[in-house]
Amino acid sequence: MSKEKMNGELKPIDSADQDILLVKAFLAGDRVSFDKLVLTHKDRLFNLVYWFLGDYEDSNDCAQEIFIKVFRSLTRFRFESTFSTWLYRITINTCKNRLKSSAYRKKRKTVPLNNPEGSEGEAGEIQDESPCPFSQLEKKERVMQIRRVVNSLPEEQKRALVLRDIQGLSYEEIRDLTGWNPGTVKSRIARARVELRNRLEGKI
Amino acid sequence: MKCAGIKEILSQYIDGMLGDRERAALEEHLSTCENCREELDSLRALVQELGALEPVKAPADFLGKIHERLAQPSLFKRLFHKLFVRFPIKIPLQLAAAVAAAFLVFSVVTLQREEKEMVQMTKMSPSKEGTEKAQFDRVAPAPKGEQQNPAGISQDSLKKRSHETREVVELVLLVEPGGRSGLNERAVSLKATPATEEEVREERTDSTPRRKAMTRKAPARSAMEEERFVEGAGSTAPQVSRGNGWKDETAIPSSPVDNISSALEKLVVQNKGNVLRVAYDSVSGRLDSVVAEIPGTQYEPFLRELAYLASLRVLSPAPSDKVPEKVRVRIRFLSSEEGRSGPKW
Repeated sequence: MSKEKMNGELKPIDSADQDILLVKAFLAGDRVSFDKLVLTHKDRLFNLVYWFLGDYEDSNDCAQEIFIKVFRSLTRFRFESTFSTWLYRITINTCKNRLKSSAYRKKRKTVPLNNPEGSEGEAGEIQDESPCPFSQLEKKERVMQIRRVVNSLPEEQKRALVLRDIQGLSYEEIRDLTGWNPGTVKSRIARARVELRNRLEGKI
Repeated sequence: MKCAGIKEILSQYIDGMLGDRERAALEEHLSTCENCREELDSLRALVQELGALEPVKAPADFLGKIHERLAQPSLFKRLFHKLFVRFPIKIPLQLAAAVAAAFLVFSVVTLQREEKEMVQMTKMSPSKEGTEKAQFDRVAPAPKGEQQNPAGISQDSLKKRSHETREVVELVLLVEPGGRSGLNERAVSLKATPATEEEVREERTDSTPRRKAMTRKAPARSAMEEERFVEGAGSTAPQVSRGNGWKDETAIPSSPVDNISSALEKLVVQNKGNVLRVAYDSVSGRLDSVVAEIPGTQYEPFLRELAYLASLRVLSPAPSDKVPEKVRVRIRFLSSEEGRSGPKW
């Protein structure tokens, strides 16, 4: 599956315009518009949060918290950026705060490293058409290995890698969301890829 | 271009972020360098693998959960509930609240007590002070300059007195119930001589301060009123009723205590002191006590002369080693029989 295809599935075409219309409708008093915004962005946002936090239950709680924040602060949205950019900015900040929180750090210490998800949530979400159970198991193991290594990367590199290679954001979007300068965005993406490749190949 | 420089831009090459010139240089290098080609292939494979990972989707009840949480009380209310209702944190917080409340109450009570004390101290206000001053002006007239004040009060002396706190030395005079026989000879000589009407008139026309006689009210009067004085001609002069129930002291048979009181007043004046307050027993109407202020230098002579009046008991010792500016004494009167059985207070 190509990145473009994946992005196309999760982010509908002309979604920015549609988002703006929904936001305006919500601000006009239409509560259903908010539900539509949630349904439009929930999977993409959930996936991002899950890559940041590495725990399914935590990610679920955090993603809900993000949409609740959106609901309560949408009146402050000034239409200076796209709704998705604004939503991602809230997401990144919320995840950063949660990663810094003592409760999360404590949990991360107690959860075994080989099972960072702490639940079977991910296994149930993977859809593999392969009829071979061994192939399915191998793929599952590979995904878990990648998650584990990604979670072991430095926070800044992990953020750059997830935003670029998992979420498929452009360099400019990453710069807008993170506030990094363009050179930093490039270097962090490059280092994260090399670091991840080396760790997966057992070079480190 | 060297391999180190090439590897730095391979990631941008994969994403199509290189300019035409850089891309051309890189592709030229890759055509000759197998090591860099392998590096490019491995990174490209990784990027493709990451991009191909199935996204983790939100649970089916995601929107419903958001609705539930939105319907819940606000964060403030939940925080309040969490802090004050949930058991694990409730005890320390409640304890802290209880301690804070106790501290607050203690502070308020202490403050009020201090304020009350301050009020009591400042109750020596000019108006009340004036009353007191007027009371003892009969024996210690104010200087001429102070007579301009209607109450005959010196503001300087008021200020001074209101800021001074002195210990009261308790004295007891034992008086024989039989009348003058209980007084010593010196006391008899000091006792006030009844003034004639002529003398009274002379005193009133004279420029010297008038002498005020102490009268007492009927026993039914309140204790506060009993301490008041009204102007009178003299202890034996006919007294016109003031219409407020006060009576001439001649209406009541004089007792040994009454006799000794006037002698005591003279003694105070002789020692350059002031009578501050005279109190009567609310039941019997008898003179109960006299509070006076004696200069510290005159305290010892005053005591000696007081001992001549009647048997003297000093209940509290002299104020201190250092002679104070003024000594406040409270002289209580007891009949000898009462004295033998000991003071009741």
